[in-house]
Parts: sequence; C-alpha cells; structure tokens
Amino acid sequence: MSDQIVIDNEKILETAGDYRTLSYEYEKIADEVNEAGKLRDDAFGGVFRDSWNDYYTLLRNCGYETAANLRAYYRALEEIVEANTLTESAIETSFDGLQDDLLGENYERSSVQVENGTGVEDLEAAPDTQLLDMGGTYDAALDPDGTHGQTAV
Amino acid sequence: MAGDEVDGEWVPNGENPDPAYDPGPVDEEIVGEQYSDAELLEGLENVPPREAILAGLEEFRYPFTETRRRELSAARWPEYANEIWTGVWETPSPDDVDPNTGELVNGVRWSDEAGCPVHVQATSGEERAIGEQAVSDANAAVDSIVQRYESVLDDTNYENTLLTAQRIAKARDSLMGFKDDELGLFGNIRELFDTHWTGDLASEKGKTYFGADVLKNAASKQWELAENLRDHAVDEVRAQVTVHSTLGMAVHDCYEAMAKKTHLSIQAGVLQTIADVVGTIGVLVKIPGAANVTSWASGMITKGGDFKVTVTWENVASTNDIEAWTKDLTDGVDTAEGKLDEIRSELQSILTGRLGNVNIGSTEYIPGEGYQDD
Repeated sequence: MSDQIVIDNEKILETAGDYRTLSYEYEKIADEVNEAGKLRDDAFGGVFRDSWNDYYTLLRNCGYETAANLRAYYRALEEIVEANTLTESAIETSFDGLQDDLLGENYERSSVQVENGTGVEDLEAAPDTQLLDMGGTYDAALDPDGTHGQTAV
Repeated sequence: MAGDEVDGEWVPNGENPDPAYDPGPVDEEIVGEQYSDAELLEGLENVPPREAILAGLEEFRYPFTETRRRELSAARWPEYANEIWTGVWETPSPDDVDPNTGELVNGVRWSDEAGCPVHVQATSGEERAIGEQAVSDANAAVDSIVQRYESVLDDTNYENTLLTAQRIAKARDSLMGFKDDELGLFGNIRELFDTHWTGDLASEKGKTYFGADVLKNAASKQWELAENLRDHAVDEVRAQVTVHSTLGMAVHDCYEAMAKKTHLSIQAGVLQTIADVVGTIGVLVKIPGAANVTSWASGMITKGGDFKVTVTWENVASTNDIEAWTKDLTDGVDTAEGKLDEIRSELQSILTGRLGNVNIGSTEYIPGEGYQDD
C-alpha cells in the first residue's frame, strides 16, 4: 500500500460523484453558451461582429473544455478505484484517454492552439457538447454550411 | 480497464448506474426576470422594425410622382410654371374649371394623361410623356432611397442581438451559480484533497488542477467573459435601436414636411405609427441629422392621431423639392450609418483589447487544463 495514495475507496467514489454532478452542471452551462451564440452572425454588424465572435469563441471553448475535463476526471477517479490502482499516474493515464475520447480526435484544445502560435482570434469554434455526448466527433456531413447549427430566426 | 458502457454512461463494476442527473425544473418567468434589461425592453416594443420603416418609404411614391408631374410640366412650359405648380393637384371639379374655355387658370388646363396642369396647347403625346416620365422618375428616386435604407437596416437586427444578449446573460448567471457553489459540493472536494489525499505517492496535483478553488476561480473568469459579451451585446442593441428610431423619425418627418408642401389629401399612415411609438422612447441617444427635415426635436415627442395635410399657397412644392427630400432621407442614413460604425469600432476596440488579457491555456480559465501534460 505504500506506493499508493492512502484513501478510503468510499471517499474517493463519493467525491467522484460530486465531480460527476459538476460535470453535468458545466455541460448545461456550455450548452447555454452554445445556444447564445447561434444567432451571432445575424446579431452584430461591421467590425464589431468579428471581435464579438472571437471573444465569444473563447468562452465557448472554455465551457466546453471545462465540461470535458470534469467528466474525464470523475471517470478517471472511478476507474482507479475499480482497478484498485490508487496512484497519481493511473489517474493521469486514465484521464488522458478519457479526455481525448470526449473532446474528439480532431479537437485541438485551445491551449495547444495558443501554444502553437494560433492567435486567440483564430481559435476554431468548439463542437457542441451534444456532440461530446455522442462521442465527441464533429461530423461535417451533418453541418453542410459549416455554421455549427447557427441559423437566424 | 473500464466497465461496460450502457447508454453512453459508464457503469462501475456492473453496479446499477446512478440516476440521471436532474437539474430540476426551470421557471421561465424567473429566468426571464433575471436576465432582462428592463429599461431597454420597455423601449424596444416601440422601436420601428425594418419592415415598418421600409413600408413608410413606400408611401413616398405617390407624393413623389405628383410632384414630379408638375416639375416636368413646369419645365416644359416655364412661362406658366407658377400656374402649373399652384393649380389643383387632383382631378378638378367642374367648379375649378372655366366653363367656356375649360381652363383652370389662364393658359393652363387639367390633363388626365399627364396627371397635372399643362399648357392649354399641350399635345396628347406631351401629356403622356409627362405622365410616364413622372411615374418612372419618382419610382427610381424612391427605389434608390429604399436601397440605401435596406443597406443599413440589413446589417442590423436588434431582435437577434437582444436574444443573444439574453441567452449570454443566462449562461453568465449559471456561471455565477457554479462559482458560488449553489450545489454545495466544493466542501466535499476540499475535504478530499486536504484530509484524505495522503500517502507516499499522493501529490498536490489533483488539488492544483481540480481543487475547489480552481473550479471557483475559473468559473469566475468565465463569468467575466460572459459579462463582457453581454454588456457589448446590449450596447449593440442600443446602437441598432437608436438607428431604427432615428431613421423611422427621419422618414416620418420628411414625409410630413413634403406633405405640407403639396396639397394632396394624404395621411401619414404607417409613418404616423412610427412617429407615435418613437416619441415614447426617452432613453435613447438621438442622432442629429437630416438638416432639411422639419421639427426634428418635436418629432421625439408623442403625437396623437393621423394628420391631414393642410396646404398653403405660400408653401407649395417647387422644382428640385424631390431632390431636397431625397437628400434629407439619405443624409439621415449617412448620419445613422456613421454613428453606428463609430459605436461598433469603439466596442470592437475594447473587446479586442480584452482578448489579450485572457490566458485560456491554464487553470485560470479551464479547470484541469494541462493536467495530462504536467
């Protein structure tokens, strides 16, 4: 036991449940942000349209990635309990795979884009969290106009 | 090794899955109250929409045509210009006509084909040419004005902007709720890392990337983003509403000025509705402009009822009036468009400046960010 984190399985599962609730809460928020942006192309004019869009994309990516991280973390906690390998590295390994699955193979996290020199204003819009629930893969075939479901009323 | 996936949910060790997360019913009314800008909404229902303003411009075709008829007729017979301009504006009654000569006044008679007074010796071809030319010119003039208005109004849809602002405000409030730990879960998370996370291989990593304070602070940062987005969206709504109101009033006031200079029996109709509703909006910044438009200031005061045109001979329409009215209307658009561009440039500059201060690649904004890379 000395190479493991000393912790009661019940306690870690209980907290994993809390993270699970928080992850759902954040998915709800991310969906609200997503909903708020659907009309943005028809809501703003001139040069302001682009700056609002850039700023909005930041919030949307933040919400989306937060929801995915929280979900990956609670699942990682549950997995290490189930596997009875209570080590930080086990959590990391588990988290890493889960997060990739949730975000989708084509999704590049905002931090990675920024690190690679992508300007904040060029960040790609994140896929919907509904897509996250289905496996996280953005399907361009379902979005022929590339608007991520944004249409005017 | 992971457990089985059941309906997309991971089930640990084949146990029964947790009941589905239920955030509870949403009270739409309460939500509405929370994120509405009451002052703005109060004025909004009185703002003329794009369609009303364009419908108002359509009402210019008749007086423009009638004025253009006289302009062409007076240009054809300049020595009778005064008689042509001051003669009747609609098919005369027998009382208006000299029973012996059929003249309205000396040297001028009414023409149904031209639709206006013409010289007594005008030929049928001349009369028809005046009538056709007048209709064509007036329509072209109104068409060009309408196009100019459409180009500005097309770029502004305050209903979409308002909806966007309201929805962002809703997300902002949810972020506030998360930050304030409305679900009461942060204490448990604190306890996990502060008390239970011990052992030789236990590190601060979980707390650093997913601790309660990290969750709280990131939600607070995201709340700031939402707050700024909401503020700027509301500013855009205000700018658009100002443009709609201003152009609506410019159209009404120009029509009123024009109507007073013709003696057509015309009513302002939809234009009066615009004037009435715009007059009730007190909170908006007015855009000055439309120099030749009469009574701009008084136009912002509530008016009651449709008006009938009262004609005075001293105030009759004359050559180049269509040009002047057109200029008034397009000047209004120029002013509004310039103001709108100015406001948007300012908003753009502020938001772009704020973008530089956002460090998205850290737990400052995203809990768990960088966890797998550390």
